[in-house]
Amino acid sequence: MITLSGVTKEYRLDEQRVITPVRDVNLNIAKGELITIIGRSGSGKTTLLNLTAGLVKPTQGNVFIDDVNLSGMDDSQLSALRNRKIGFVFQFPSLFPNLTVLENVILPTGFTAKSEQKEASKHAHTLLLNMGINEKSAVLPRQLSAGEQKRVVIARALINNPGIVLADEPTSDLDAQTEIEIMELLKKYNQAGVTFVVVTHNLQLLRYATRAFKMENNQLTDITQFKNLNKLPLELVS
Amino acid sequence: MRLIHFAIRNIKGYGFRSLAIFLSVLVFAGLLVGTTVIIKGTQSSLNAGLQRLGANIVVIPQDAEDTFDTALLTGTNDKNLMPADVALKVASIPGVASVSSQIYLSTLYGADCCSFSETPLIVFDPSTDFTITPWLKSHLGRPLATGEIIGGSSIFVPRGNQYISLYGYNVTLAGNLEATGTGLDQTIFMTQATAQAIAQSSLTTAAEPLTVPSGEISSVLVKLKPGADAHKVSLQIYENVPNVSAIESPNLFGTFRNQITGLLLAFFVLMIILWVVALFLIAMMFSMSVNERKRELAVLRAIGATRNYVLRSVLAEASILALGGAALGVAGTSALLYLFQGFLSNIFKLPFLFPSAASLAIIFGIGGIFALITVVLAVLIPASRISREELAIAMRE
Amino acid sequence: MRRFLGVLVILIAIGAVIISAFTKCKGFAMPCDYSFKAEIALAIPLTASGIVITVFKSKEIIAGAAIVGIFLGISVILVPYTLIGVCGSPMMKCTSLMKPSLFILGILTIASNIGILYSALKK
Repeated sequence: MITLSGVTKEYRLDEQRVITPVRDVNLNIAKGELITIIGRSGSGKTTLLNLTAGLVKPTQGNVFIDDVNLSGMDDSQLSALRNRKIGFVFQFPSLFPNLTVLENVILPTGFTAKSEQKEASKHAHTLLLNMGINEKSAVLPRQLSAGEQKRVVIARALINNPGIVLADEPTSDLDAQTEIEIMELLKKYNQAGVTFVVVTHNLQLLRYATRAFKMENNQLTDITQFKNLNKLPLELVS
Repeated sequence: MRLIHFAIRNIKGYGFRSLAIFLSVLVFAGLLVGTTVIIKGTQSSLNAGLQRLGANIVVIPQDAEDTFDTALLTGTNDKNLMPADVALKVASIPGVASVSSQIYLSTLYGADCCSFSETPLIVFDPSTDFTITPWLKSHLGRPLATGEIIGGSSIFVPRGNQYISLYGYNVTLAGNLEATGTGLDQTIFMTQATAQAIAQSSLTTAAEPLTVPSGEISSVLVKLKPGADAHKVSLQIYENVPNVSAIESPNLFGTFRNQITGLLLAFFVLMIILWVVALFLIAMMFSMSVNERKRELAVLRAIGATRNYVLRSVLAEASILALGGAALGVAGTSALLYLFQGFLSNIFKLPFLFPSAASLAIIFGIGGIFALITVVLAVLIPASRISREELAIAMRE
Repeated sequence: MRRFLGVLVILIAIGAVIISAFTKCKGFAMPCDYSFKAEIALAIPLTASGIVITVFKSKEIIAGAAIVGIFLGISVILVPYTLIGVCGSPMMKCTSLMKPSLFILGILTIASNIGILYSALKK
């Protein structure tokens, strides 16, 4: 479903300095997997996620979504791909402050064909109901708690029934109980067939993954065998 | 969600910034349309005044051009006189079809309120007149009787009375001419017979008697034969009739027209400066606003909006503010000008005739379009820049 | 917002009286003088309406005061235009300044009270 082949991303700061958050990453993700990627801040996890979503172009290598190379796509094709096939849960608060909860959730449907928009409201309410916040569909985001806002973002990510959801630190700034609730939600939709790639710094969340990776020194290491441990072995801790 | 709804929500959500842009456009559009309406109104008034005179050439005493212009424009009295035989001499000039002489008088100064204080009186000769007489034919269907007058648009019968009292003599207001925005609107037109009747009565009924000059006139209105060259005829008048000035009607109000042209130029320069300032201010405000919303717009792109959609959504916000501000600015300024036109005209001694509905519609349309273009231009660069920003970088900010 | 509009109504009422006082003709038994006196008579209940809107919290009372304010605003306009009038000559201050000023103040009164009424009924 998702293939990263020899993907490298460089940022040139000036003539001498170049930073490379992602170097020569190869990754194949099958449909229905829940992948977690851990790593320290600045290790390149978010850049990897952005490369996967086509939000940033790789300096070298290729990214394939359902066997389609993202490099060959123009802006409108990429936008359409992101709209239909990829849902995104951002690390930072990403709800539009001037739209209600319901309007935020159905916003991505505004870029699809008109015929699909009619069902959008109904589907949005269903999603919000599943998230347990349907009664707040008419309020503005600033009236919600951090956990509730996260649920709305997840609902928005799922509104177009994407095959893939990329979640960047979906449980950051949340308390332990809410963290578990959010991960359980993701697991529920994963079991329904949605492929998840979750970036996190919380080792406790590894146990939800079908496969786990660690991002360090701009390279990806498979740590699936350790996903059920409470902590990583010393050689993998940096 | 439709683009327009999204734009309106953002306008409401960023209230202060929206209000600042709205007010900038309102002031700019209001000033633009306001100055245009004033200039157009002044031009309309001058043209209406010229039409009211109905003459191709006006012959007046020598060196009396400025007094004559001022008298016509502002409704004050012109006391310059010339011999009555000037009319005959002018009539004999080749190219002249007909002439009609007029005498300018005025009512007393300091009359009661709501009555006529120093109102110009124009005595015309019904046997030769070609300005008032056509109006009389079409509106009254008969000539004026003795004791009857025709008034400019501002002349009225005081409340509770049936007549207008001039020098203690009661005259009947037979009708009002259409507005010109000039001093002609405050002018009373009467025949020689009525003037003589008032003069006679004023000996006993008025604080000061009215004197109708005998053998002297104030002006000769000249109508030319078809095809006659007004300039050639006026030169011949200068050559053949001593101590007069012959003014071709396009050159009437010459001093005032020059002043207006100067004013026009000054307004034009001011409008250009204002436009540049408005453009810069709005561009700056939108640029700041768009920078603040970089992440928000990047998220919009990330969830499936194209660059074009982001650009259109920012332009939609700008356009709504522009059209709203322009509409209110244009309507508000025009309404204020309409309501206070009399006051402004009096204070600035400016002839002014409020433009017709058709002219106003054109002015409004142009004002609105100009405001829209200004705002779109101001917004285009920051909006375009933000829509092209690399998403990952924009989301980090 | 309600308090702001209530104070605005009071200021408009006072403004109408002041403007009329300074723009009417000097002298007596003239239409503009009678209009000025009528505007004083209208300003008193309009001021009272503004005070009620500013001070009271009950939405029914506020709505009632706003409705009264709307009709008073209409009257502020009608007095110089039709009910009593001003002097006939367009050159006079009362015609060129007092009348249009009262028109604008009347419109502002009506608009403010409509806003207050809408706000009171919305809650």
